[in-house]
Amino acid sequence: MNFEIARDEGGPVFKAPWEALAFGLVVNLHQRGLFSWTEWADALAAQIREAGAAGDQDRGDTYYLHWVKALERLLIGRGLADPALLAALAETLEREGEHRRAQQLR
Amino acid sequence: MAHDHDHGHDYDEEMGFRVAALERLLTEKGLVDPAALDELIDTYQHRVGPRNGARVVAKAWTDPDFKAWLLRDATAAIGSFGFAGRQGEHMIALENTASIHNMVVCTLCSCYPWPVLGLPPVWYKSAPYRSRAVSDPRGVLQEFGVRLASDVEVRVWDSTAEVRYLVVPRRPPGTEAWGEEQLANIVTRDAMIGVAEVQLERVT
Repeated sequence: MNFEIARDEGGPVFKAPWEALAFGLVVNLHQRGLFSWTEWADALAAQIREAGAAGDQDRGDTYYLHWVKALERLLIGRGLADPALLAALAETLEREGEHRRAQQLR
Repeated sequence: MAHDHDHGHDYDEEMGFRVAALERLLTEKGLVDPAALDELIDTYQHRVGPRNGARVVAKAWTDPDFKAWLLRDATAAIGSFGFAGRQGEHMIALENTASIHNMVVCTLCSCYPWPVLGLPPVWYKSAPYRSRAVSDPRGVLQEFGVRLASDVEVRVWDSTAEVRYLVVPRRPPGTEAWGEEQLANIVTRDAMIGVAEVQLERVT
């Protein structure tokens, strides 16, 4: 395992828009009382721990992936979402997105 | 940076739809407020950053009463700037001196004082930093360019969901006549995490 720490020079805080959205969703859900910050930190830490056990190098670049998975799991655990529904919804959005792009190309 | 990143555009696109699905679901259920969401993202992306913390440090350097307050009750002292809220509910300020060097880590995830430092850098969230800051703090400091005399005690503080730390770095010699604003400009994010010292070299 490479123990070198990836340094940065104060670059952007989010690498892609989805990271910012995932971040915002969690903070807003917390603000609105769906979970305490301790509950969230525990869920995120568990996700990171599992990914590490499964061989994730965890150099900080997969952080928001852990964040998304922890959120999905928390919602599923509360009965607010189920995996099949989320996958179907993502597919629908992708189709809609493709449709929109196709229109833009014309 | 991301040069060795093996997921490219497709990965971001896939994740985009995955997170958009969460957003739609949560919005439909009335669990998130889209307007609040936009505001929140904008705030952390553009308005909160290490400049907040730098102003706190500069004030501590120039105002002994404020410094005493900051070290006694950092949450209130920082709150007097209006920097409060999410992830800054319980702050502790740690002063670096000639004999003690403090550095901060979150070994479990990446707890970080958002109101004063913005969102954490990539390396702070990485496993190597999270583990090595504890097992080999001097080695980590050396990688960041900090060489401490052997008689300097290194104290490593592990953040939690409840407690966040702000390091007050040492004020560099030669800045005695400087005002707060000028001082704030030389205080870096890394210095306030405790993995750098404040340098004068880039000042004109």
